[in-house]
Amino acid sequence: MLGWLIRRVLQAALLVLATTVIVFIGLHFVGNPIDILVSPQADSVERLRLTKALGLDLPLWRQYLRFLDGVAAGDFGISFVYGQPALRLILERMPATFELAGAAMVIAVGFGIPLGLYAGLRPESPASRLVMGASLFGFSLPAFWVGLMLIFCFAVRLGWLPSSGRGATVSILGVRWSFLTLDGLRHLILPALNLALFEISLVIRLTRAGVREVLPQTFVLFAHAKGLSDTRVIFVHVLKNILIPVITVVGMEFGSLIAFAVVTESVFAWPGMGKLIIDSINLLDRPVIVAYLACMVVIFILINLIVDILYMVLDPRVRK
Amino acid sequence: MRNRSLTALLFGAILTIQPLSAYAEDLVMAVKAGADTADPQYSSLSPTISEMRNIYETLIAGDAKQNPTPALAESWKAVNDTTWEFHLRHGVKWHNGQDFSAKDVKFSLDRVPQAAGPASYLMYTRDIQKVEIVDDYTIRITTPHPAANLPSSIGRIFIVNADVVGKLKGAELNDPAKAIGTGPYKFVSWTANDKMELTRFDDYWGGKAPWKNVTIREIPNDSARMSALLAGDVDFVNQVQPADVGMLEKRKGIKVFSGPSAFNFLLFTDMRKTSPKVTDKAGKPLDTNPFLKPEVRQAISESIDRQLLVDRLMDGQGSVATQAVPEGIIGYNPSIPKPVYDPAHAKELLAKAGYPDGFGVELTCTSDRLPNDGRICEGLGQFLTRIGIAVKVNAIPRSVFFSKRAAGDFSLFMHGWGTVTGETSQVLEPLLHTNDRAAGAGSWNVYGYSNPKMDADVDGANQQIDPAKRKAMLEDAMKLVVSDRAMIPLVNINTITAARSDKISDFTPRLDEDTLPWFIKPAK
Repeated sequence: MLGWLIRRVLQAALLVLATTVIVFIGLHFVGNPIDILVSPQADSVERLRLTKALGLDLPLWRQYLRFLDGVAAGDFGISFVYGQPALRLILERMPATFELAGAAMVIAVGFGIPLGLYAGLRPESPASRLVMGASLFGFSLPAFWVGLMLIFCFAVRLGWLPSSGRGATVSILGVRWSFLTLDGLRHLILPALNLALFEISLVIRLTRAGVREVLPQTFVLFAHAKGLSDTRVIFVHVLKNILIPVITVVGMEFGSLIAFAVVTESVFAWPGMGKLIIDSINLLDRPVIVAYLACMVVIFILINLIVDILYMVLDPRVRK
Repeated sequence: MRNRSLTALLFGAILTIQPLSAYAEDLVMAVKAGADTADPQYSSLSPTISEMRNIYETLIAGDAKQNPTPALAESWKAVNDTTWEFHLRHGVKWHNGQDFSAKDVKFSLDRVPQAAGPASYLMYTRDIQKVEIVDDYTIRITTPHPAANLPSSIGRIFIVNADVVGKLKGAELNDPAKAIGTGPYKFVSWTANDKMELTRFDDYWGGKAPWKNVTIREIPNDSARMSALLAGDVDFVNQVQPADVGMLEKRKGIKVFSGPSAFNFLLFTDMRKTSPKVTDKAGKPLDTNPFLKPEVRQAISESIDRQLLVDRLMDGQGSVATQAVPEGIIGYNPSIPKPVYDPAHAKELLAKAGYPDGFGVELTCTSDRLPNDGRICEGLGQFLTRIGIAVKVNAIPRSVFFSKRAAGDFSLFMHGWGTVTGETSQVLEPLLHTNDRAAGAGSWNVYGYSNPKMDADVDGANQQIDPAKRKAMLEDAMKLVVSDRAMIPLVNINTITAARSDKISDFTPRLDEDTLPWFIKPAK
């Protein structure tokens, strides 16, 4: 177990390193940040000063070594645009994104599992067909468009919910959370729903497929034969078995929720990492882009690790 | 109607629990881009300046048309060719109750190099040799050579409190106890990429500002910003897209304010011996550059129906440009006539220049920088195709555009430009002056245009202290670049803002596009 863990950590470190190399080289070819950052009135003297100040006068490999040197000391460099440590800028925004992704996950599981269960138990009923049909829309509609439609309906036309921003927040241990205030919660509903749409559909389909697969199996027949009630069979024996694939996929999806929050965040002006990264890409703010992608890789790896461990806890067959 | 009352009945409960934060005296604005930092001397880019003006002040401010108006300096004059004297305003209080005086000005001017971010204020302080405090309310600045731009240059620098700021810089000033200015609003909080919160400074020398609390939210996505206005989350938005104006004007409860801005679109032709993106019609590179022929440049200018660009592609939110700056900027030459639109004549001109069948060229523009840039680019492509030039339209993100532009990769390109300082030298010197690394002039002019007469005008104007003579020189320089067709003026862009009419009665759009709360008049 320990050896497995060490191997995973080493793999992760290599992956992060590879990512930074690719991003570093890629960004170098996109363009020169000086041309975007410098004031339009700047002359050549000013451009030269900036090039030196940002360390862009060095050859790329030396820039990269300097970057690695900093990373070893926990410093991902200073944002070109904001003049603040890139990692701090990202960490400051991380809670907002995690909150959004977390809320989306809760919605996805809260709606997805019951609906999927229903559709699996009564596959022929019109309601099930409706659910399955609707889930197709959830898969195929672009999040960007759905977001605008949600704003249009619930914020502009009906005026029930605010259209953008995070609302009032409560600070716990120095981190601001908005789901703890009524105003914050109202701000959270639309973006979280928008982000959850795809995941709801995914969970519905997974659960339904799981139920259809598990129902005909002999242990279910045996449970019925033992005289257990229908509810007990479904909610204890069937549910336990279908939960394994659902948790695996949902866990993996949590990573993409965080990464895909970019679109939702920009439509709803949610002050998370996604909004920051979009602006940073437009301004070629290299340190922030590199630090963001490195963070993303670490998050993905951590999630995979947690999913693997959960899998072992839930499924005794894997532990052997 | 029935639907509405039903809605109201059913969801009255939800509405009643809405927070009562939207007091009539408070203003919530949404802007496309916000400040980069809490340090007022870090960035000289418009979005940062516009937010900082609430808290900090400069020696000289500008009115809506960019005419200089006294701010922290009550008056200023040239004592001789190389010495300027500024008389400071009496009775100005810092937000912490201290009195403003000459030592703060000297400290602030000296601090510029330490505070400098990527888009620094260093260009504005380069002409300063020495800053002397004559007395508490007089400051004298010496320059190594006559510098006519000095007042307008240092007039742009924010003055900070010498005692409070000391050695602090950048993010260290993101603190209500440290962000002490003299402006109409006091700093409450700021989060990069999210929002700035301000509260009124009641002892402001210019009188109390109309709004008690101001929140400036940053919403870069255009649709999201408009939705926030329509949903009532914000009271005022800037950078309204021209295509949205019609819809907003029809809506009850929304007011649109549109007016000329300092931004325009200019078309540049490569003037070097050979040009990278010109080909013959078959796509083979040409060894001569057709743009060197004045007839070709004239033909391009005459092939474009600018009024059509304004009416159709900009939804009427702009005007035909006659020169490199819009009207109102110092050095705008009123004698320059409107450009001619005559595609038949343009064809003749091409034939006269030796290109009866035209040639091929790539037209490069930004696609994400200014309103409608990509659309106008496509429109230009069609106009040029009509006179026989085979145009490949290439609208690219600004992050790619500016690097390639600086590297000299283009043959024909459209550049959006904003003369936010209110003086034509800001467009003539970097874009059209002969590229001269030693003198620092023509830093953007890597495409070979050079006219010694126009250089002499611009250089002369920089040293001419007499405003009337200076204006005449700049107007002459403008005439030269227009008749040379060193750039082909296209269209001026309007600045468009919108507000909720139940809270806001009026706003005058400014040339520099700043949205300052004390220019936003509350309703009633």
